[in-house]
Amino acid sequence: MTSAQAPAWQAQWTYDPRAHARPLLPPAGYPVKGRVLVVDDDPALAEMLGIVLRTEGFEPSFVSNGERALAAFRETKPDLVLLDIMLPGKDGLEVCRAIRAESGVPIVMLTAKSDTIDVVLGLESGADDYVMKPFKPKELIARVRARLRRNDDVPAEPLHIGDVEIDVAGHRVLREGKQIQLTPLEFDLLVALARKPRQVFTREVLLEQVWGYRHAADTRLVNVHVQRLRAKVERDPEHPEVVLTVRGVGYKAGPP
Amino acid sequence: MRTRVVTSTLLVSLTVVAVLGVLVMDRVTRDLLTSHRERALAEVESNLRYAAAFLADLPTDATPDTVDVRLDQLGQQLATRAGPTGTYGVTVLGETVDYVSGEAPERAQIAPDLRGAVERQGQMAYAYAEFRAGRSGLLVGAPLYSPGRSNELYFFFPLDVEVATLNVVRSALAGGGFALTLLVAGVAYLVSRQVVSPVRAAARVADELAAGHLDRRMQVKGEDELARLGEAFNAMAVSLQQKIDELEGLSRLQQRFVSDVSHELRTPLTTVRMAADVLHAARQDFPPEVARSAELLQNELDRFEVLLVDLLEISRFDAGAAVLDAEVFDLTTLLQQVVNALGPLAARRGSEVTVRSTDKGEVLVEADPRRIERVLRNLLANAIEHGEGLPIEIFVGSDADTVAVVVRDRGVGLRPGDASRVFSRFWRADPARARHSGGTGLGLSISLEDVRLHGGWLQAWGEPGKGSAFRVTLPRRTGDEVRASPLALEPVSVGFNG
Repeated sequence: MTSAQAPAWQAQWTYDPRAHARPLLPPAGYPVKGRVLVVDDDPALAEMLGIVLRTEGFEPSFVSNGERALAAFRETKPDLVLLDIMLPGKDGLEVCRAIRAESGVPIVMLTAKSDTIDVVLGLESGADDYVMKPFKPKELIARVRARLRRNDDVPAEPLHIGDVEIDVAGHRVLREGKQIQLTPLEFDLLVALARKPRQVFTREVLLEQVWGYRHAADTRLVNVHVQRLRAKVERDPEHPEVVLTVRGVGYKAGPP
Repeated sequence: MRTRVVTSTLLVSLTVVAVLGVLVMDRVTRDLLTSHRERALAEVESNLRYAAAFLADLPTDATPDTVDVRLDQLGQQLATRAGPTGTYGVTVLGETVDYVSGEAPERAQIAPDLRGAVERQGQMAYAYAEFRAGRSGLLVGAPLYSPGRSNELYFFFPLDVEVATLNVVRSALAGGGFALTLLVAGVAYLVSRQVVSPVRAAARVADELAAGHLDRRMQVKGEDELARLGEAFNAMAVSLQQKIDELEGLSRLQQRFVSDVSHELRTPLTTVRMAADVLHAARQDFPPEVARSAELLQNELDRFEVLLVDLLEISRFDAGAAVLDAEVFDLTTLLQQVVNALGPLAARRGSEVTVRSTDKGEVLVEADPRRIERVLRNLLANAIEHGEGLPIEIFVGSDADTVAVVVRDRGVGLRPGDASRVFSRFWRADPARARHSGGTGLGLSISLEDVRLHGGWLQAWGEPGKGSAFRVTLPRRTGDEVRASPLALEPVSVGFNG
């Protein structure tokens, strides 16, 4: 197994500490507050979540049963939902679908299962992001903040991809004058692509810009949400014209 | 198998039929000739008596001419006696004139041996001969005494009827033998079919069983040996299916157990983790011992968590529940992320990490990026931990079918025999050595399983004091097998081979 000849090395690079000097997201010091509905059946964990959320300035409310989750959601009108996938009564995935059916509110799943299928099922049910148990409080708060932050400081110019018009200021997406309903996350994803029409975005870059991950994370988040976005904005999701796949690299916006 | 049986049967029966045919022909020929000869000799004897009577009144002093005239008359009489169809021809050899009738030979045509026997020894003799028109027959010669001298009398009995009979018999034998041979071959074909078909069916069912269709069975008919074979085969299939069902059941149970343990353990662990974090964040407000306790709690929870994750991952492999979530990605980009993530740790230990690639640009591979990232992270973390702060090199190589990454450190290295043991669970090179990065002892085991799941190789090399090298080789496309690696595992010594 020994090849005596040294291969001809074509490329070489060394780890550069400056590679880590990336801007932190969300913008430090930007006050993000809001109401958070915690759907979890474990009283100790729910209480702990409450303590951490309150410490960070959020207003938590709690529901421990899947059956009552939707009623509690309608009652409290939260800005974000923290949802445990494994719930008594109603399955977390069903709760997720039920909430998503009537609202685009950010949903962050809590999951104990790292198996591919469970994460993908959760995302396909409409969750925007997920946190794997056991998680650190900072990690959770970062995920919650990232989902609640809105990029209101950017110029609200109208953007176009093909015949899809994006009204950034009004948070609306239109095709031939008709509005397409997108969740805030799907909207952010579309805007990120539309802002730089010729740029190819790797999944990692999208994770950083849209989800606020600073380190390499689960790229399936991007895959699943691109599928969901395509299902809404493409005329034919099998032959996308708005969100194009660049094989082996990532995604880019279609021609304006 | 069927062709072989039919062919050998055909050959054997052909030989038997040919031998039989030759024997039968020989026997029939001999019988026919014998009866023909007996009939001929009886007729010759009766004709000789007639001839003796015919010549009896010749005076003893008759002139040769007179005798010859009488002999000529005798020949005519004998020819008349042969009947209109002429069962024989007559040749009478006189002193001056010969008489020849029908198919009988001329004087010159008669074999000297036969003439010698008749003329000199004065006895009756016969021989088979062939004269005009290729007609063969029996030539019988006998001496004929007339006053004062001896003459010769020859009768030619053609074998026309016998030859015709023999021809008929020969063609009958040939046709019959041919038909018989075909019949035997046909029978052999049918018999072999009856035997071979169940065997073929068994082979087909065995193939299907092997392909995973465990509910396939053979059809069993009758009570013979073949039916017993079928029954035994089916019994084997049933027990095979039961065993596999049992194993699958256990595997499912194991998977569910892993999943349940995962959930049940993770939820309280999350609470503890968050509580510890809150305590840790507020530790400045505590007395020193309590603050230190909060720190220890925090650190050990980290270890506990990593260990739990690794254990669950290993048990998922053991349960056969690990699935490959493959996509096409650039290996160098992934490697860059891994190096960037672990760079700070390497920098703290003083190791410089250099990456070299045989490709200028991308190295695309179809694999599960999460698993490959984990493998590369494990190998690099390992190299940093055991690298003694010396430079670490990462080599990337590829060919048409495979890609490979070699992670090489110049640290403590491996003792002889350790290269295979490093992948064992909870194995430690030196139990007395303290761990820096708090590895669980499962990292390389998990990496090996991850690589195996791709159909790839993970190998280690090391020498004490010279460092170690770990090589991952993956097929470019999932489902392919790795046959050779584009990179050498052992370091190439400078100056070797020129």
